[in-house]
Amino acid sequence: VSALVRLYPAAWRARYGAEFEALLVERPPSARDVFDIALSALDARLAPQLQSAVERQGAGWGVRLAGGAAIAGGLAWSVTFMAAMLDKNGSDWSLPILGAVILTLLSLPGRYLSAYIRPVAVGIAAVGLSLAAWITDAVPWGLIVLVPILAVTIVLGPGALALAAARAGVRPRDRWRLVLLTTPWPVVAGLVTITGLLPDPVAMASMVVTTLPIGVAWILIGARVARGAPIDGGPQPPVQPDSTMATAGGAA
Amino acid sequence: MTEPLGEIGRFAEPSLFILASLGEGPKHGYAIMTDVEAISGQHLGPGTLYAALARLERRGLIEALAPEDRRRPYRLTGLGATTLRTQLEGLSDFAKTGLRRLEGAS
Repeated sequence: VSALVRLYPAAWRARYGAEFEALLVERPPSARDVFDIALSALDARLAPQLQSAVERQGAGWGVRLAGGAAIAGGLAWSVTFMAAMLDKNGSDWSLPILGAVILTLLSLPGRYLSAYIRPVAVGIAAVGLSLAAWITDAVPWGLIVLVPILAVTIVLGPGALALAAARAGVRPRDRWRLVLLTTPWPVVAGLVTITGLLPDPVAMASMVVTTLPIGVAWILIGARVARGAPIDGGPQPPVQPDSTMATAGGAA
Repeated sequence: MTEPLGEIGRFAEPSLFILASLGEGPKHGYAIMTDVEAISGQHLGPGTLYAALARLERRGLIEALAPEDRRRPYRLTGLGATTLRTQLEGLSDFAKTGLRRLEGAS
């Protein structure tokens, strides 16, 4: 039972852990219940309904870092991808695009970063990433790297965007809209470009137009995170006790 | 489902069951589970129960009372009671319309 409770994040355990454990002792979970608990624990981590101690203090450094990374990643993505598409000199844009992707992905754990990791560890990680970028800069880039980056972006991009939107407090319906409005169209434009169905200038323009919303979406999510938007976007705050419904019967 | 339960997504249905259960009076987790199973015939897993409780509490539709031993009862708030009533009236109208159409067709 304790192991099942430990699947949940610390803030959740602090609030519900004791009563949840009491419930599981009173009614031992079946295999189906264990699966249900595992899924709900994952939900509690992906879409937490409770704010951690750090988050309760307002938009702390972890939150601002996450928002800043999303904004910077969105901007970098828009600018570098547009520049790469419009570049007539055939310059290598794979490293800047990789940087933009890393920035956006860094924003995912950022909201919770300060709750789990000490600033020193983040500093070491930042130095490590910079060193890695410097070392890999010596390696010949180009299509060998660009193609996997784009493939990963197309496959994981919608998921990462939806996850970031969830953590930024965007409502489920709006999350779907965000993903559907941004992610399928670059793929369609890419296919059109590759198959040569449209003249080159039109195909390139369609790539730029369909790709820009991805960067804009990340910028909007970043702005929402940075200003400390409420998790899950529900109406706040709770109703005061004096407005409670008169109830009958007492606790069962 | 309409707002604000609609925005709870996949937890909207369990949330409605929980609100209906608490309409009778405050209950703790185990009592809610068994009551929901009795009134709806549907199994309510403990994980789903607490995921829905957390959402309802966050939205101010229910509130926690002082714990009794390690069990904590929950009760409807005024907003929760209004929401439950709106949801049930909507379902009732829907059921009446459906039944009327069935009768008209036969």
